[in-house]
Amino acid sequence: MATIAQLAGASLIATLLLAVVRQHSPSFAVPLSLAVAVAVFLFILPDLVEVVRLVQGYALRGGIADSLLATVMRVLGIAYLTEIAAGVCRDAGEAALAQRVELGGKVLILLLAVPVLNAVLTLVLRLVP
Amino acid sequence: MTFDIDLVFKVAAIGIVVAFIDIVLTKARRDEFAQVITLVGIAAVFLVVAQFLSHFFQAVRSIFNL
Repeated sequence: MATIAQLAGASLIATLLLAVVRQHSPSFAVPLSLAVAVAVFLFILPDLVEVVRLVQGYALRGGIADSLLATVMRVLGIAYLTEIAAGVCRDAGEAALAQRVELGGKVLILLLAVPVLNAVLTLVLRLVP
Repeated sequence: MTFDIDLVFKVAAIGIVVAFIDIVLTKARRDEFAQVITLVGIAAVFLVVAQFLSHFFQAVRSIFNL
C-alpha cells in the first residue's frame, strides 16, 4: 500500500513539475519525462523481480523447458523496452519515431519466436499426416 | 528501494533555473550568453539522465536475460 502511495505521489509531483518546465523551457521536458519513466521502473524493480521469480517457479513446477521460458522472458523484456522508448518518443511529439521503434520491437520479437513457431509447426505436421 | 525523486527534482530545478537565467539574460540583451547557458543546461541534464538510463538498461538486461 505504501508502495502505490509513493508511486502515485511521486507521479503527481512529477506531473506538476513537468507542467511548469514544459511552459518555461520546453527542451527540458523530454529528459524530465524520461527520468520519471526510468525512476518509476527502478522503483518497482524489486517487485518485478519477485513476479519474474514466481513465474519461473511455476514453469519449473510445470516442467516447461528452460529455453522456452528464456524466450518468453526475452520477449517480455523487448516489449517493455520498446513500450518505454516509444512512449517517450510519443511524449516528445515524435509519433513517427515511436512507430519505427515499435516496428523494430515487433520484428525482433517475431525473430525470437521463430524456433517456438517451428516446433509447433513440426508437431502439427507430425499429428496430421 | 525508494522512489528516486531526487533526480526528477534535480532535472526540473536545472530546467527552471536555466529558464530564469535565460529570461534575465535576454532582457539584458545578452542573447548569445542566454543560448550558451541553455545549451550547457541541456548538456548537464542529458549527462545525468544518461547515467540513470544506463542503470535502467542494465536492470532490464539482468532481469529478462537480454
